[in-house]
Amino acid sequence: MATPREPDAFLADVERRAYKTAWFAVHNEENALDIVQDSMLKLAESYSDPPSG
Amino acid sequence: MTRPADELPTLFQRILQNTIRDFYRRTKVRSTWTTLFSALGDGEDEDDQDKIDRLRATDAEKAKRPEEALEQRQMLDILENELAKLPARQREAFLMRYCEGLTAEAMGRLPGQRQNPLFTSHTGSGSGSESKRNTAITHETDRPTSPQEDLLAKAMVSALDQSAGALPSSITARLAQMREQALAHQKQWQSAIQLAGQSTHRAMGSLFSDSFGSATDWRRWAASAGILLLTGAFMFWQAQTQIEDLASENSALLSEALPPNALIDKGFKIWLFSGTPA
Repeated sequence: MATPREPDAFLADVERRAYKTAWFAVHNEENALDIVQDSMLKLAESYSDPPSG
Repeated sequence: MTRPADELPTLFQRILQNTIRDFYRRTKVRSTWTTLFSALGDGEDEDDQDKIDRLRATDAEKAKRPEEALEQRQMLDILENELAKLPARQREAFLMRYCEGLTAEAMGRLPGQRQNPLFTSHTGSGSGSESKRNTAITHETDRPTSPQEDLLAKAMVSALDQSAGALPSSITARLAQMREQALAHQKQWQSAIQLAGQSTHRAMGSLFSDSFGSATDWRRWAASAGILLLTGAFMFWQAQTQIEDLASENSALLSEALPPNALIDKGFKIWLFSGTPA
């Protein structure tokens, strides 16, 4: 079972590169940050979902 | 309650890709993928060209030996040329593969291995353009990567990673803040799910099992059953009276004697005897 630390460490690890990827995609700082934030929130939501079955 | 941690990179990569796609749909920037790497080549966008130049400068500065700087510059040149050849759709695929590269790296696989994540097949993007696949980046997993392709992959990853490592503190601070928010959101979400689960369980329990557990619960059960019964009885009685009312109205209409005026009316008499209306 994953602990709350795991997503924290994971996001800390990838957030810069995720931002960079988003920036390369949209060429805009604010939009890239928005995309990363959206992605983080979605990850948090789906990571909290109980496993099916 | 949670998914296994090794799902995280794949999950996040998919989410990031979808969010970027959603962003394009929302803003309807159709040409974004086409201009995605155009700044690397023709420099039509001044701002982006500046950023690329800065990236190059950083590369050169960071390199300890001149030949290292030259090598990096050459790699970026190859990168530019290769990317310039790519159709828009494959540039998209390339970026998505960069995301996958990050995922693979996060899972302990590094680019440059035979299963180079930058060049593995990407399901979902590029489908339908198989016939047009004419560049280094578009072959499938099984084919071994050529040195040039490896170089390109490494250049891409190193260029992006270097710029990612050299992000301004304002950006990194905001990223950290976002992470905190997302984790707080996760906790809220998690407790909401737990709460919903518990309350549903409790509600079902109080209805079906706990009710029979103790005397007080039994009385409560009986009381609600009584109320239910009374409500049912009242509704039945109401329906019955309504039917009775309708029946009496109907019979009154049917059995009522013809009004005297009807008999006086000539037209009615004619109608009565002829069988047709006047």
